[in-house]
Amino acid sequence: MSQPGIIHRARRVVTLDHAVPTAEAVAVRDGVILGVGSVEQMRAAWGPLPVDDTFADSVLLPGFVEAHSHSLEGAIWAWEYAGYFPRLGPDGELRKGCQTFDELIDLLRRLDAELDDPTESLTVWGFDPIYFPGERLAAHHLDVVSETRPICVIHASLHLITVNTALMEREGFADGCDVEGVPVGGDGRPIGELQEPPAMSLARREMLALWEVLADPASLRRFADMARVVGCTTVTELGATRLSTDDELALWTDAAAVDGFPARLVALLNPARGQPGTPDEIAQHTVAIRARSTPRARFGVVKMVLDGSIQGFTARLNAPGYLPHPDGTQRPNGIWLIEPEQFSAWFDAFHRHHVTVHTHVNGDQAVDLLLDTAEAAIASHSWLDHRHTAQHTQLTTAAQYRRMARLGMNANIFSNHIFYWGDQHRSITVGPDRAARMDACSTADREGVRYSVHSDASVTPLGSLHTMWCAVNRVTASGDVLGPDERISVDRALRAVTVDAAHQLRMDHEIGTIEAGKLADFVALGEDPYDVDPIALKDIEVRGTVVGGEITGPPA
Amino acid sequence: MTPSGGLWNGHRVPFTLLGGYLGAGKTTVVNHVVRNPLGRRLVALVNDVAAINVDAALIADHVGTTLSLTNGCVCCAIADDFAQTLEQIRAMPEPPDHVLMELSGVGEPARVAPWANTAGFRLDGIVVVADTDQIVELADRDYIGDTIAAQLASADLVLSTKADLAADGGAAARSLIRSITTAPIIEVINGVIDADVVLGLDPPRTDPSRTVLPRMVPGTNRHRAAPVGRYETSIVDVGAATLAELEHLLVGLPTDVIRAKGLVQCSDQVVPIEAHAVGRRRAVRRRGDLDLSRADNRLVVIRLA
Repeated sequence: MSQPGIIHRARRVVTLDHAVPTAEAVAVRDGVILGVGSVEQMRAAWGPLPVDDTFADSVLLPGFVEAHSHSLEGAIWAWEYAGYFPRLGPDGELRKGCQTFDELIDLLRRLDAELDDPTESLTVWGFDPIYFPGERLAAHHLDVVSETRPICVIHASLHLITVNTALMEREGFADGCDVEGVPVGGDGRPIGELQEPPAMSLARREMLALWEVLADPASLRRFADMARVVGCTTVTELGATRLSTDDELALWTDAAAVDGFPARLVALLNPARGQPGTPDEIAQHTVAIRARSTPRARFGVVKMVLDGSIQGFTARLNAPGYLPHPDGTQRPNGIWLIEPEQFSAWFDAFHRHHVTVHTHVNGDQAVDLLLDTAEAAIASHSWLDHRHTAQHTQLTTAAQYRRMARLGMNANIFSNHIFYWGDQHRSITVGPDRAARMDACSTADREGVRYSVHSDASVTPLGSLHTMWCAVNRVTASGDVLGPDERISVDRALRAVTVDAAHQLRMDHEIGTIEAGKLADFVALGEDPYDVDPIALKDIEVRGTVVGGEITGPPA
Repeated sequence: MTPSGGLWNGHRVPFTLLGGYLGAGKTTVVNHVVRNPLGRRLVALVNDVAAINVDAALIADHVGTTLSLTNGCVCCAIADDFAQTLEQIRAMPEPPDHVLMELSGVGEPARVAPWANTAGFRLDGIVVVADTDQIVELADRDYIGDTIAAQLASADLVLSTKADLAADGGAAARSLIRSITTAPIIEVINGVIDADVVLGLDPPRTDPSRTVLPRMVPGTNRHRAAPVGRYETSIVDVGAATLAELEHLLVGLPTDVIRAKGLVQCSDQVVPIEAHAVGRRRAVRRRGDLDLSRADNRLVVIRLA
């Protein structure tokens, strides 16, 4: 059913379309862009459309596209945030966080009072011990809140939790256990800290709840709400959930079918997540589920994971490898998550069935394996527009980017690492020289590789302006500039989080620029990113988004 | 301390990790053990349930990626991640007798081991399968050479498969494995291996008839007459040892000990002490959950013959 259409007048429309870089207004009908230009031009071309001035004082840009994120970013808000820094929630409200233990205890007391069932456990997340160097959070702090209700505080790293005595008693280990990662106090009893997932699994019900919430449609709604708050109109789930059965697909399509759903979701299939069948069958399944895509829930692209993380010392590195331990002993190389033969069998099948493959490669040795594998597949079957993408690609060298360019591959660079772990990479993981060329956007440009930059939310918070800011400024948490030669321009960073992100998701014909015929997905900002001091990029106000021509609103 | 509350009222199921590269023969070993579990209700966690090959008559139920056998064994696919996979077992009202987890071809057992020793589970040991005909080349291969070495280095026991196919009778493979680990190497032909070797003598045997080895295992193929490995069983009388003396005795057992198990009333302890050896791994544990009267102060020891 055709609508009459509307003209959005803005302080400026920044299109990222080279033909018409800026305009006064954008005309929209049926969720699709009719054109950009002055209000007069639009009316002359398309008739006397009404003018909407919602964004008259804002700058409209193509909606941001986060090409590497996870829906956990929305799921985790099933529980209250207890981090150190103030943080915007999916409802757009600012949580002030907990700057002291007393504030954490006050928060827990308030939440405890809201629960009726005395056996229901209480979970909060985001606690970061790095900001409480004087004291270690332990069960005795939490026991003050309740001696009967199990309490679980999930740390920001997601690799640690602190639980109270009631929870340890429920699981039968309050007096001790021989599980690795359960530190004990002077009395030989566990202090309440559970380190790393095997020990964390002692808090069975709470960890199970974390998995269950991922399959809750409300989590996807919160994920899209979170996207709206930070100006993303398309966000991705890079293969952390299964897309095998009808129910698993319907989770996405049903959630996104609700009126006013405020973002497009792109869910990538990971064959290692229990997807049955031969490589050919899995590739055929991936092609088949494209037909299940809806305007706001998309399928048909693949993600695989080759190695671990650099800060976890599990990424696969070429020589000279990781810096030694502080005591001088050499650290072993990281881990592989797929056998090279299995990776090759899957990659080859996807390539032959014309399915774009995104591959998690943090370390430079993992990049080599990806390039060897991709080269063999590409050489054996001609598909020029494959858009295979190296994800994270943090330690990729200039030589590897040259190879990537020759193979026609894309990169999605984990620029947020510069801010969040850059200082640690310089001093602990790889040293100052390799840290200076980590997440090398400028090198990728120089060597001719098209790329996006990403947050890997919820590993780091979702927010394309912040990710742009990281790639443009390369400022670490301590305030140093890490590898200034790898900084990129605001224009380059903007393209990375819009049209080039859309390109690697095979959606750049639909989204990523504001031009006639594309979907009307916009972000409204308080300032034009081209006009602000680059160091202020992350502080630009996000005033709203438009998805498919609809102005999105906060959750009801 | 006496376990109270929690999963299975504090009982923890012995958990064995089975590592080794693609093609080493892990699935063959799993297939043999689930067909011949020697009375255990075993849960086998495997990468691909479709690779489990048992007679139709042995299948009690097949739902999704879970295969239940009439002998009490269950084969489950390792889904998504370890946490969710293990929760499937923890959801069982009665604990199984043992869990055997097959790792991926690049799985490094030492890194996965903490999962085998958490809520409801107690790490039994790490068994790594090496293809005699392939292991030397694998250990030198690009990308995965160090992974292969790390797998062998973490092994408590090495099962050396397809030795009959190796041109040199397996000498090069043995030499490579010996350069990495002192763990006992057991040659396995056609995957025929006694479940007591792979899974141990857990719980400590009270029925002496179950400790008479070597023996023939009812075979399901033409190799039924093959002896089950090359090993022998003996009983070591511990007597009235202190805990320190028991530890000393356990650590001092020869390097060719494949398995040892016993429940001992140490003269300086009030709860029974379990002595446990899997190749290189030697451990004593307080078993406050067991009655002292069950301690018979002897170790059942399986050694390479």
